[in-house]
Amino acid sequence: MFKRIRGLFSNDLSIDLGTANTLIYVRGQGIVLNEPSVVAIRQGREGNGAKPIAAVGMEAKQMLGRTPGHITAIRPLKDGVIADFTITEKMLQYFIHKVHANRFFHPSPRVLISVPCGSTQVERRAIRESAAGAGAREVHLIEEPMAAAIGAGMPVSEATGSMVLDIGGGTTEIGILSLNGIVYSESIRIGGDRFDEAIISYVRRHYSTLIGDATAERIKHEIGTAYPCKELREIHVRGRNLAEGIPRSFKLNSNEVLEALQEPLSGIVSAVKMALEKIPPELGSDIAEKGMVLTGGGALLGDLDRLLMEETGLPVIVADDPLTCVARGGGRALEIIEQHGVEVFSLDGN
Amino acid sequence: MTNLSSFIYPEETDKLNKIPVEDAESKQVDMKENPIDGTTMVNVDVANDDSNIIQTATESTDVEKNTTDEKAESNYKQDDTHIMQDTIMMTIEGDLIAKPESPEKEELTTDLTTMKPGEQLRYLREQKRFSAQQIADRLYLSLYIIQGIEADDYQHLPPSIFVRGYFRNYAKLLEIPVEPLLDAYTNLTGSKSLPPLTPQIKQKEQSKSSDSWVKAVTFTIVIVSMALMALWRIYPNINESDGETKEPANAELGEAVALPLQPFTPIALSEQPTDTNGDFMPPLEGSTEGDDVTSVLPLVGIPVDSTKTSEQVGVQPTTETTVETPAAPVDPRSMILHYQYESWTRVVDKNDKKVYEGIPKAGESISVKGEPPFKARFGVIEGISVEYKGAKTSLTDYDNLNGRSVTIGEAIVE
Repeated sequence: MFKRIRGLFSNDLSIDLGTANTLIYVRGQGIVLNEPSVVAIRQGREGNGAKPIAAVGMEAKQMLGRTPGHITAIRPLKDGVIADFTITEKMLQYFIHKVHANRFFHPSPRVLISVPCGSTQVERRAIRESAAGAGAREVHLIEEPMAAAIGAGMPVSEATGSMVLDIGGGTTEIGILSLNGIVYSESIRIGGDRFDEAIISYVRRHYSTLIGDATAERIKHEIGTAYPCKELREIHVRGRNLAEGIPRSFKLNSNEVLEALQEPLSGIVSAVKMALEKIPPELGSDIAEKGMVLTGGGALLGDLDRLLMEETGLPVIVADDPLTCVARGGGRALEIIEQHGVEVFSLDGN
Repeated sequence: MTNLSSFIYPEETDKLNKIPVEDAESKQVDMKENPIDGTTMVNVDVANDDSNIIQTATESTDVEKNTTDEKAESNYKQDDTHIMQDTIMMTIEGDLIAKPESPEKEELTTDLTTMKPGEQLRYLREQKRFSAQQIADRLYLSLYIIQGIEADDYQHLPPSIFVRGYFRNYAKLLEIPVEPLLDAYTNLTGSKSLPPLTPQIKQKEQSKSSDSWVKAVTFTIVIVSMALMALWRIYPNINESDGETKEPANAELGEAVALPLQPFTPIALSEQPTDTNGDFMPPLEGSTEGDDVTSVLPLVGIPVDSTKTSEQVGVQPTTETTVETPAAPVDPRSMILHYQYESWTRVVDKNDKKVYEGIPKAGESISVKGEPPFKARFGVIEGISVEYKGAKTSLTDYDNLNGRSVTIGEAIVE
């Protein structure tokens, strides 16, 4: 009853609780928050198990790998699912409060959270309860491919197949949708993080140098490519030389990065091929005509669309603003839910 | 994954990049060929756009000359920078008409910024000597999609998101910046329209128990029925209390207990016994055999005649509520028995004719008529009082009480 009253003073939120970034979309306001899903915790001296939060989001991300003994910067989500329940709850609480800044009332919004389609009931329940613990009045879960397709602007409600490939930080979601429902979905635990790891291990193998996650991510952003391109780009990287134990600088070029990324990329390509094999032929022909859509941060990896085009022989396009597709799609789904009820989408539980 | 390096851009591309100076002639040819192909000529189009913009401002003669092919492009939105460019281009255009041999490079930029996005792509594709089929092959798209894009005919193409994606891929293939193209496309088609999300097949909605109107109706019904039940519960009480309070008022009219419904009470009273008689009549086995009137007044909890109660204080608990029996107290042929407890009773009259037999309930009063003296016999004698000839006497006070039998009254001597 009281929650409902507080709900009047809260916004409806669509949250893309991603492994790498958490995005919050507020109806009518657009994306209002886009921060890394990182929490820095101060080790409590009280010993009662309470873990005071030192920082959340961008601030905490800068602490990753650079923390003193009494602070730990952790990413509470791993492979698209919650690894640390209480920290996730704290993080969500922080973000929800941040979105509702300058409000007199304790916020109690209606929340729609996207979950990987491969997540188990236990994982979904964990996400639901985290959100409820963070003060949400009503929690809906939507599967990520659905949200991504809606956000990208694909005609998901039509009787025509739409294929979306959402490459996130922890997982890659493949979804084939028709008539507001998921015909086929597959979630593989390859994402941006795996790209970073692949780069780190490549550098260690070939340069005997250890680089951190942040550096690997920077390499990926700047010269990462999924397909050989004409111009060769280079980047200067610093890391700790394993033999000497001293930080050294060296050059890395885009072809090396391409080589490093072969393994995770082939995982994605084979999952896409598998999906295309398994769907009904009519939907397959729809997709072959229009093409598949790439969303998520992974879509920004250079020439990934070209790689998929060459490998599958299908048109591949990158959505507008691929990073925010899921959150925007969730926001749109919330609007539709408000107008037409929950039955419109195959939402998971209420 | 091993054949990744197999894709190399056509080698001509590099060569083609250098064309502007060398291929001045071929370019000119392209420009002339366009109208032959049936598509709008580049020059004409430029003029069209210009005319739309400048209409309100300066009516340039050049513009007037070139507005022969009027197309309605009212939805073509122009921002300030675009207008600026166009005015500059217009002068270039003027030069162009005056001196057809103007530098190729300038003409290229002029054309591109004012063309529709599809035309731009077509123009650039032809510049680079690709066929539409080649582009379709490289992008793995059907030829009709490429043709649709180049003709700016978006009606028959997939939704906006796909077209934007095709533009992106196409532009990447031609190695041109995509943003101007996308802006032009957005300008041409209006805002980024998102496809509808509601299902096309509209299900007929079934009314469910969760529907608000169902809830409202149910709630109303419940409230109304509760109100009715409450009224039903209260109303008889009012009725009873009305009757009870009115009777003394009626009986003691002189005491002026002015009740508003006073005039109607006699009617109510006369009706009440007859109404309730049928319901509450105790079993009267003998009542049918004789002609004597056996009237029973089953007035629950209501003793008779408050005026007489002073003599029998304590016998009746609620003495203020009384019923005036129709039988006159002074009539020796009638008597009234008041019961405090339930008791079997049989009354016979002078002729040994049974005038009453039954088990009146506690608090009940019965009226007995017959020829005195009455010989009565009771199951329990306690708590019974007899009202005879206007006097109310407890049964136990009778001298002639013999066990549980008593004789009341004397024979009337005519």
